[in-house]
Amino acid sequence: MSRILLLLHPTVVTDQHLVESIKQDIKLKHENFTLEQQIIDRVTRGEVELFRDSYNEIRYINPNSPEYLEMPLSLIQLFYNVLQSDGKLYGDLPKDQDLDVLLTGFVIEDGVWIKPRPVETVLLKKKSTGEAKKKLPSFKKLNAAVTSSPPELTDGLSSPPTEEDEEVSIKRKLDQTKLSYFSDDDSDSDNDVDSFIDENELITQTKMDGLIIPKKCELPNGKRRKKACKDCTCGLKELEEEEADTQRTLQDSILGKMAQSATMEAIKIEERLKAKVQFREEDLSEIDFTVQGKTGGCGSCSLGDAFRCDGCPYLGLPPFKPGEVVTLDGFGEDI
Amino acid sequence: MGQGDITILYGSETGNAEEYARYLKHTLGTYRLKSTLSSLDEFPLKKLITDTAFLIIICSTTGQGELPRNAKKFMKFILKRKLPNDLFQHLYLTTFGLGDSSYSKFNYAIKKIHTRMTQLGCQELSPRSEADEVSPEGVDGFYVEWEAQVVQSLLKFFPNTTKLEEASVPMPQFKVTISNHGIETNGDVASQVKFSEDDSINIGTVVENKRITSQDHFQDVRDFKIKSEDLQYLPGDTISLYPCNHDQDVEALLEVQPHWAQIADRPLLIKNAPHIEGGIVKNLTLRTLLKYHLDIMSIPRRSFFALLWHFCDSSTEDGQREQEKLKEFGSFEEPEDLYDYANRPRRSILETILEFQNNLVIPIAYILDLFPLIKPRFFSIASRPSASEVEIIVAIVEYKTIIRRIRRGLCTRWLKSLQPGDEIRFSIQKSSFSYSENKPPIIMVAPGTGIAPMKSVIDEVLHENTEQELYLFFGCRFQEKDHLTESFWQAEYPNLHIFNCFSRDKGYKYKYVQDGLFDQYKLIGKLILEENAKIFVCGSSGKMPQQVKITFSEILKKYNSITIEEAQRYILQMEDNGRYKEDAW
Repeated sequence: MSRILLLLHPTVVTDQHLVESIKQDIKLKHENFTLEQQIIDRVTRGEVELFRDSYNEIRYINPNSPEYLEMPLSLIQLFYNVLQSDGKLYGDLPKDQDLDVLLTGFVIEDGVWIKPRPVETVLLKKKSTGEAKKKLPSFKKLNAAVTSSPPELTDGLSSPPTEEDEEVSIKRKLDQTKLSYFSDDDSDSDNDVDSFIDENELITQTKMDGLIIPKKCELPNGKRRKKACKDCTCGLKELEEEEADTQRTLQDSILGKMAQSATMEAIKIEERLKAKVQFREEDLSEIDFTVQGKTGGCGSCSLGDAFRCDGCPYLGLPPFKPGEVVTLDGFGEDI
Repeated sequence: MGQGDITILYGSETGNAEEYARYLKHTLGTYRLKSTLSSLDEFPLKKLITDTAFLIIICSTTGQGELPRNAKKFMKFILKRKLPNDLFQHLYLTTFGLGDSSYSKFNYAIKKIHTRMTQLGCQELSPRSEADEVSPEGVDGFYVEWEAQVVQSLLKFFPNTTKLEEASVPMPQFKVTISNHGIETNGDVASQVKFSEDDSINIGTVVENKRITSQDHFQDVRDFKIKSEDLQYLPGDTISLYPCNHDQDVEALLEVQPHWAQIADRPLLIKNAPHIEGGIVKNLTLRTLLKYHLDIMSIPRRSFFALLWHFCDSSTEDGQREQEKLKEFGSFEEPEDLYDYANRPRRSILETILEFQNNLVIPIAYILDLFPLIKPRFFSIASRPSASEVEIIVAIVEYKTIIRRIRRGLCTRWLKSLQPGDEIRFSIQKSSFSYSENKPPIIMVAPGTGIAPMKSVIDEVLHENTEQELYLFFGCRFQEKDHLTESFWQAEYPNLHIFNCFSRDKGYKYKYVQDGLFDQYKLIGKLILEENAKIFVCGSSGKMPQQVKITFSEILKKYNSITIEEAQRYILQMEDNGRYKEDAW
């Protein structure tokens, strides 16, 4: 009678289909056995106690991709301890920890970890162990999708569905399995540093080919880039600020009597006066190109900033019509 | 594949990434492609399995290669080691990153997201792009090229779709309607306003709102104290505040949309209401929605115009001209014009609507699609841990542009108006800064209101009464006007060393914090290399954090006679190990 331990990574537990197929496989290979099933986390946290020298075989199922199968030494040691002599460990084992494995005392054969007999009994070879060895290749074949990457979530799809209905139901099942990863009630172990990959490693793995880049920026001749860069050091920003100041001075000359300067003091005066500006025809004729007879009239000054030219003296003032009252406290607020 | 299978997610700190995401949604809408738009953290990730076939992620990189605040939860999820490699095998993915190549960790956030999502099985929808803000083409240049490819690739999957008639408007994502039931509320709501429960929210009362710069100083800096209960925070943590609009601004908007004014106080219904941080106002009416949730004082973005022009009546000559202008602002054809009109003078959405009021009729149904939401504002906590009080230091933002009305920050304007006794809502966010482990010396660099988190650390260390050494390099303009630290610590403490730098006082020893640091290179070098000191830099973003970092590299170079490259590498290592923390805004 063989004692077999099926150890599952927590992410596999919800995949009934997979677990069943593994059990089926075990049944095929053993006639007389007892099967115990545990979740690896419970074992490593010590919530479940396993006894020394108990099992003839351990199957470890971990759906993560090969690079994330690394085991702590303590776990390798634990596996060693609970296996009987000649006991074997199969499944999703790390491929790059052979040294740790050998140092623990295992022998590695075709990716299977075997706990050798103590030296004095090595001579007493038993043929019965051959049985399991022979079946090893078939185990691997059946579970090819399990051990290779990407892991087995899609396993259900590998057998071609015969009918569309079946496809739909498999898709639903697959979705449900996937959804289990999104549950909010994450166990505490999920907050261990070990359960997250290091995001900085992602940077070195990022592929930098085929990125979309803009068509070359070709500014029309003589036209500077209008917008100053963030942290501008070339002076454009100062130039812009200067322009804004100039604009305010221009406005001030328009608003002459109301605001002599843009200082806070003047602003307070405006506030008191509840400034209202009456644009009279003669005011406009001095600066406004819209008045007939003036050359270069663009007709847009009165329409608001959206339509005014670069350098229009009215920039920053509300839209107006000649003769219309322009209220500077247009929004019921101080200026 | 259904029409609802396109998901656009963004990670955005300042709103730029969100703006491009909104614009993309709009563009897809013009091809009759319906998409779902959300921030990375607010999207129920299960929907990536059940409701998504095409995933488009737009994400900026902030600070030292970090993810924006509303993308962190998402990142944490995808980093889980246990996720299988084919989890997202059904997804077609493309990504767009916003970054600044003058920072060493250029576009790190989108690199991480893209690489990890590909590891998890995503297939390529169309090539990705990493936009560079400081390139001559700007982010727009990258976006336009990238968007064209996204559209082209999607159209292959939806061969039967056609481009909408230009004049027709895509359906709103968040449809707002007036409820036929329910009672009209009293227009004046301020006294009885309630918000839906959000368990992260604390309610507090303003205890003090005090100006701590002299009256003749150009800037009004406030020291706020808020009383509350059961608070839990540590030095370095931040609080978020939820500002609202002023009543007269809301009123001004209602006035120029007369069809809104009539129904402003009737109950509203929202289909697919978006998640609103901090909870949504309970007695939801057009007026309360505008006041508490819609950011009508923000600068209108391109996506705003791309939708707004549809609501401009073009039946008159004036209307036609205005519609054309709005449409132009909503396109990429004359980006400079939009910049000059909106961004440079910091024009608000409200002011824009007022300018175009004669021909604009905005349907209620679209207001949530049109106006951005008011976002919470974050402030470093300035008090030492306390269960009953929290203190912040805020510079009131006021400045002038060519528009004559003074520009004011929505939040600081609201804050300035708060009186002792007023109730406010806030929440607390943890930071990763740890000052206490092994009690290393801390070098603190804090120009202006960057002093806030330093004050929290210093007060706590002084309270603990340990011998942990603190070195504060404080910078401001004038010793007499904005010398914020003066009111904080009157007594002398043997372990608190303050180096003041006054940039506008003639003849003072140190002008900028960099000067102070460099002059003290022997002390600083020894603290860093021999005493394992931590560095904490806080203040407004821009040149300061970079200049300070260069200064530290130069100090190490001079102190230890090493090359500048070695010194820079050492600083970089300090960043990676959490010994060098920068908090810039």
